[in-house]
Amino acid sequence: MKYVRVVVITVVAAIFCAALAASTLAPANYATQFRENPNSPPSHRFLLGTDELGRDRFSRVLFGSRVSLLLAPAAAAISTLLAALVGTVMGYLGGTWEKMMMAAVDLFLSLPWLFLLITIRALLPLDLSPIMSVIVTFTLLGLLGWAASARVICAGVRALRHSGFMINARALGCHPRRLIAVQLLPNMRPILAAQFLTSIPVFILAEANLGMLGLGVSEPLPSLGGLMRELENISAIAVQPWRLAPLIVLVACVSAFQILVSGREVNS
Amino acid sequence: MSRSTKNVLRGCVLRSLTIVGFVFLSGILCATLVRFAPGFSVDERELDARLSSDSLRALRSQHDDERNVAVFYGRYMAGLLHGDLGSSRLFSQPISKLIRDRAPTSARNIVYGVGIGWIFAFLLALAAVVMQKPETDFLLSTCAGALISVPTAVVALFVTILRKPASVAVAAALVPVLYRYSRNILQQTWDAPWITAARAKGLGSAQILFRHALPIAAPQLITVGAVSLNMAFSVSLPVEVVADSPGVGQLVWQAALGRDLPLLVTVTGLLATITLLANAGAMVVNEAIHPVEA
Repeated sequence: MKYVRVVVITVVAAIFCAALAASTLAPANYATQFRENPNSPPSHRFLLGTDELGRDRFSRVLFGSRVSLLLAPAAAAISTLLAALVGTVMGYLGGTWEKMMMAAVDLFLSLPWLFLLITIRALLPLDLSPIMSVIVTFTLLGLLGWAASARVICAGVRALRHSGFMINARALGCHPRRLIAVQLLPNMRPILAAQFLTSIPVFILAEANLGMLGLGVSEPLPSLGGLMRELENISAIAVQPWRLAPLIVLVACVSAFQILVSGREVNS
Repeated sequence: MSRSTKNVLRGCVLRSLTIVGFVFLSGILCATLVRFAPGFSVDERELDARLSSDSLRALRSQHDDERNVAVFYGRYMAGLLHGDLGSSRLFSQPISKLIRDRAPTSARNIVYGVGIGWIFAFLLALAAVVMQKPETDFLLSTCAGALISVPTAVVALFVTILRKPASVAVAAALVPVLYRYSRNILQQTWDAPWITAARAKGLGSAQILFRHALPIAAPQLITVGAVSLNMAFSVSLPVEVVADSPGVGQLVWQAALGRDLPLLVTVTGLLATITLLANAGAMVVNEAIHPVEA
């Protein structure tokens, strides 16, 4: 298991580094069109060929990975923060407050996630600039993905609420706000980290689904989901298997994250 | 009346009240979103240059009373009680008709998908747990992990290439998730001390499974069964779009592209109500079969 984790961390680190250095590594800009070479096969010049508009696919995969892999953790951070806020308040207050808030969380969880996401996305203008569409997509993912984590965090806080150090701190007259910030939250760090890591692959996949449905990041900015729209041309996949490159990157990343999360669970 | 029956009845009443409360709240939310959606009370007919100013005034006056928020809420909620879900701006048809037309396709996709998914996932989980072979467990867990990492839309695409129906795509997307849940639940039960004791006494695997393990794991499996309905709703959306299956998921996607908010919020509210009913049903069944655990 240890070697698997090392390999997985190496894969994730390599993909992240490549995504971060996309501006340097990519032979061309993601929007640059080589109009004389549309749909060209892989070559020295175009490592993964070009798309229908003559844009270098390798460059677009690099930039797309950057968008998906850097913003999914940002969305995960938003959702974990929200979950920490709601879960901590719920678990700390306990009693009727906890029951009421838990009922609200359960109701939120019973909403079909993708339907809710699409409904709220449709409330926003469709003619957003590409950068705004990226921000809106991932912020929405972060704002809507907190409920399941809040339940886990609430259970963790509930377990700690009556522990010795909390009773001591309360007996010494510690203010509830300080109690939460100084005593409770630092002890919740492993749970928060696990929730953060669990959310990342979920958000990468959600963006990919939205992108494939045409409701994700706007063109010409690439994202892994947007790039996979090329797969809709089913007949072309057999002739041009290099079209599968964004899917392979996505599956590698999401699998790696899942192995990391399950490894953490086994260790803890 | 026995105590356990009273508990089941109390649970039924509480859950029914929760669902009624949710439907009321979601109705108000739907009405608010529809009332304040861009373009509310704008009639496309007003753009017709042939209409006289009197006709235009008459058209505008049709929406005057709807501008009063309280009147609008009242009418919307009364309509909901009578099964009138409003009308779609994109399709210019009553929402209830649109849903009625497409619900059978979605129901077929979801029911068959969840059924096939559960059969495969449960059998694989049983095999992994009962066989107790690390290689089998590793292989199945790896395959499940890899399949979970593929977006549902891509799964649907590959199923379409294989010329299989949309329900197979729903099943293919659900199997890895359901496998993980059911395998963990069964493994937890299989590791329990009374199962070890039963094995030590020489009971056969089938006897241990059906008489000692499954009855204990049943409440959790039933709960996951209810949750799988919610998962199937979310999975059905990209599947119906990619597989071109004319169901409610495809309708919602078209509504999202056409910014048809009344249709979107109504369908989401309806699906959430169905999910709540399924969850409530699972809890009542659990309380009925395991009064102490539930």
